[in-house]
Amino acid sequence: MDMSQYRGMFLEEAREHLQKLNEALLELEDSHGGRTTLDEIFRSAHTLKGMSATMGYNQIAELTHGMEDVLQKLRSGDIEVSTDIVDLLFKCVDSLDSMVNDITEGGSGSKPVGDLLQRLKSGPAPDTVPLPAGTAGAGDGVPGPEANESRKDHLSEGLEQNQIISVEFNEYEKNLIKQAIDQGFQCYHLVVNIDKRCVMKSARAFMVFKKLEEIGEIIKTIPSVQDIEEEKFETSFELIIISVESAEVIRNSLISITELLEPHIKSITGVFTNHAKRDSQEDEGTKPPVQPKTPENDDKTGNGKREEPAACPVQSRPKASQTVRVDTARLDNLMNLVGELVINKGRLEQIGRASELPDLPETLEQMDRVTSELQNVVMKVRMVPIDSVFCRFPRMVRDLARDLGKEIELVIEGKETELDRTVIDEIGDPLVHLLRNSIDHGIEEPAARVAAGKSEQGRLTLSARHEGNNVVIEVADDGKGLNPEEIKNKALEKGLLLPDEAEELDHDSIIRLIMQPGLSTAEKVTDISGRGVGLDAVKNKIETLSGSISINSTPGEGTKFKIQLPLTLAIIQALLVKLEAETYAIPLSFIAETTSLMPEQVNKIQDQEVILLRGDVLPLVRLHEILQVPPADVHREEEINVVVVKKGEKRVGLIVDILIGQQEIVIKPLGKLLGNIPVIAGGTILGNGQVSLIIDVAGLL
Amino acid sequence: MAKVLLVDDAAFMRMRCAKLLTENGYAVDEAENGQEAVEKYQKIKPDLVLMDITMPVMDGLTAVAEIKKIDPEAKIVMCSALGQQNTVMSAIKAGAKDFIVKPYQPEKILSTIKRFVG
Repeated sequence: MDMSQYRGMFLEEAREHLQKLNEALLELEDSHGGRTTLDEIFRSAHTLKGMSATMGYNQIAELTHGMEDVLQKLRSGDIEVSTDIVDLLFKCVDSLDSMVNDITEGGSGSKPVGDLLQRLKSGPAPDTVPLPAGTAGAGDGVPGPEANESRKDHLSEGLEQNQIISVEFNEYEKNLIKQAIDQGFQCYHLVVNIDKRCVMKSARAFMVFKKLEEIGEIIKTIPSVQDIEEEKFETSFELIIISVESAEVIRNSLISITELLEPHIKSITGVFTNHAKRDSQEDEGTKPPVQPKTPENDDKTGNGKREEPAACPVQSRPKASQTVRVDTARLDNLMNLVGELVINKGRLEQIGRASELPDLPETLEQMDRVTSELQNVVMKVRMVPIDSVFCRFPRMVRDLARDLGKEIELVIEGKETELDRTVIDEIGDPLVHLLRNSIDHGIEEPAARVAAGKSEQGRLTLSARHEGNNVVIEVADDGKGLNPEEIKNKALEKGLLLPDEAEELDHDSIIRLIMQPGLSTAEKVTDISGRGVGLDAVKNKIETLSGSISINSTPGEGTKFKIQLPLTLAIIQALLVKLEAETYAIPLSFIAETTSLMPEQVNKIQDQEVILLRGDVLPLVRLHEILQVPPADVHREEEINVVVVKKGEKRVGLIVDILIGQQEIVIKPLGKLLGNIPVIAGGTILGNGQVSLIIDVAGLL
Repeated sequence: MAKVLLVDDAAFMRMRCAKLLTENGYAVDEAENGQEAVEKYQKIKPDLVLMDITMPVMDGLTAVAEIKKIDPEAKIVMCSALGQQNTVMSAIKAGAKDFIVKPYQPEKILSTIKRFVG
């Protein structure tokens, strides 16, 4: 069979697994051998082995096979997790990585692996794994050459069948099942089928878990609970439950849940094969993964009821494997078309309001629903969890910290936060910059930390979360913080600041100076950071993404960079305002509030119009003047409408004539000829067909 | 006649739902936010509550917890919009019995209600 057509897919998936391995190994090192982590590493290695063997990349297969042996020993507790082992496994991953890269570049992916294999083999003490009583067949853990034989069999099976889905019990689970049965509990294997029309399958699955936990204990699910929660399954999933109840009770509790089809329930008895596996291509309903010992078990399970073919879907493969890769340009096009649709919908709504046709509102309401759903779907399609950026950081931080002799714990929060693909692609480099910065300049060496009364281990927090229509990414360290004096002096030295200006700047403004081009406070330049092209590049990048960045730093306590990014760059919520006859849009993400005040409330401080808003001085900007909208006839006696906009910590009140209201707008670039106009971020077409300009608040501030 | 309490801040949604339910022989009462739902629950002891999630004053999730405090046996079905998975799961954790996803399909609403109150 010609495999070349599968190469791309193989590479893609192999990389995913390598990434997983990297992550899980880091975790393993931290948690010193958490069971689930080991299982995860094992699974990834195992999958890689199968894939590479299928593709004929034998070295990869051999190496992963060797890794599996070691991992198996770790799993059975024959050897303990140590830094040496983790290092060795890391080396293997690196080696795999280079082989995969070699394949990417058109090579054969073969690199000498003998040395690593030797080291994997010579790991501590040979194993003697006791198999639980009643376990039949050649197990994974059987020592000696026979074990290798049986493993090779496994490997070749992987070759022929390409994909094996098996209910593989680990030692712990086997013991659990055995004990439960010994104590008179029942153990069942369930296939839960969810109606394919069900909208929130994960929530249904959650209800299943909740119901079942009332009557028993779930000891295993396929796919994992996490995958199920993330909806990475088609319409059915499997689980193993221990309960005192009869199969009938379990069945009844399950069918009481809405949108659930008839479940398949099989009783598991004392003996099961070590490797009960089945081929997903074959009909699953008739080929249970777990062989019941006695035939009468079948009767107990309400066998007769599980005959409907519809209730027996073939897919139990995780959804993750069924993806379609689409050119981003097509997605952009789709997004654009949806944008046009949204505009037209807006127009239609306006016409509808004017025409007073009785049936129109309902139709419009439905159309509104469909378009917003469509928009959501398209947005979702373009959304990628930020994890795809974050995932490479733990390894980077670990390596850098090692190089610098620092101890750093990287805490990642909110990695599931989703962002538009365009933003994801761009955000990696700035984050690398900020992290490196924190590691290199922020977090002190262990000795210095102890001297400052902190723990030896520095803490670097990388977090992402949604905040309204924005995504906020924060990089925070508990290092020494920025020194305002140092920055001020440096800025003076470089001529970025005049001496009398320097006097007036407050703490925050000084801190913000480090994002000026040409200012680096690092005393020495290292190869990690401090070459003076750092933070201003970060700032520029963020701003081109319509985002903003702010810094918060306390000397001695640490520094926090806060990046705010829009979820998407194409459709935004905006407040429409009127200046004389012209309509402008102000992106909602920049608006803190709107307020109105009387003209006499406006004061002047140093020629700057300001107002007092809840005790704070707020500078005012007359948009008319900035945009040079000709002033209309006098109506100055009336209230003044102020839109308070913010960017980072900065706030300014924009004076406008009339607030029209909030609306979703589709950003249209103004084109090359009109590009780069300060204060204007783009244009949009309003519901009535009118063109309106979008105020670039970031540029304004 | 089984009593159903409809909780939704959108009058339109309540209207549509109420129409459907009364036509099918249920007694319907309405509340436009969680707070009102809790108060009405105490007063009229409905057989079932259809609870929206995003509402002003008191959201659906809080309301579930409040109602459960008053009546641990309360039957509450969450009405969720797409993408509110996590809230739905929290609501189920808090004691909601089921959920329906908007946009509503009449058959689904009816079959769900039937499950709980017949």
